[in-house]
Amino acid sequence: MIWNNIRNWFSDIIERNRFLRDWNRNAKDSYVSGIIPILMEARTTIGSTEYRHEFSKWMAGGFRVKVLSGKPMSRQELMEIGEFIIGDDTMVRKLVSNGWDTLELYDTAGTIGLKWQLKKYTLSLTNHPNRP
Amino acid sequence: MSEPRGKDEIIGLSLMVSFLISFFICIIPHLDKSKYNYMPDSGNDGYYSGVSKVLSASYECGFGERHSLNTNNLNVSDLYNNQSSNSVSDTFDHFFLMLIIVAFLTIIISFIWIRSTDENKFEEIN
Repeated sequence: MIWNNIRNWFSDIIERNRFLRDWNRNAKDSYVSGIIPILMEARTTIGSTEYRHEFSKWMAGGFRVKVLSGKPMSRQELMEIGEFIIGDDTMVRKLVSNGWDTLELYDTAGTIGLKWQLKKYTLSLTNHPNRP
Repeated sequence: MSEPRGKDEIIGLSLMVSFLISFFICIIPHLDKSKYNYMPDSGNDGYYSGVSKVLSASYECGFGERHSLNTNNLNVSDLYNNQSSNSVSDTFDHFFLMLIIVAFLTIIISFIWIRSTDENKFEEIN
């Protein structure tokens, strides 16, 4: 029982780290190849306590994305990037199932940081389009 | 915006601050010069002077603990002249107490710092 819990805990951490590494590699490749004009890098932070859900990882619920664009970004630009991420339902589900509860976005040059509650943007029983 | 400090960075800084605070907490009770006891080598006549050797010496710190001093080649006048440095260098053996204080302060400082750093910097989007 205890052994299983320890094994699950470690495999959860490995899965989260693998997801984070893949995400960062894809963002970097997209920037290098010119698909997107901004460089993004994500890392795990504490997140917001009021955004927690049943699968949140303790003290590690924040998915913080640092955006490098070469100039201070406006709130609208950051909103668009955030909505682009939030709009990918599969990715939001992966984030939620891996224990993240808050998407945080900020750029290194400006003064703005935005955060979203991930749970609200998953297609759940209450807002699924195929729900009768 | 400037990136809020990460959890590991906050804990590291809290650890350093806690270590400094605990060092001062532990060192201050050892600076009182009035609590020395020593046994001078008074020879057969029972009298001693400043140049008499010190056979043993101890010091009671502010925590109420008695520490023995290293008295190798130490005479009475040396003991009086170097009381402060002796008390700090020879008798400072409160490392376990320091560890407890460091751990306690680190937890408190990190907890408060983490909560105040992260939650106020990002605007909520609903």
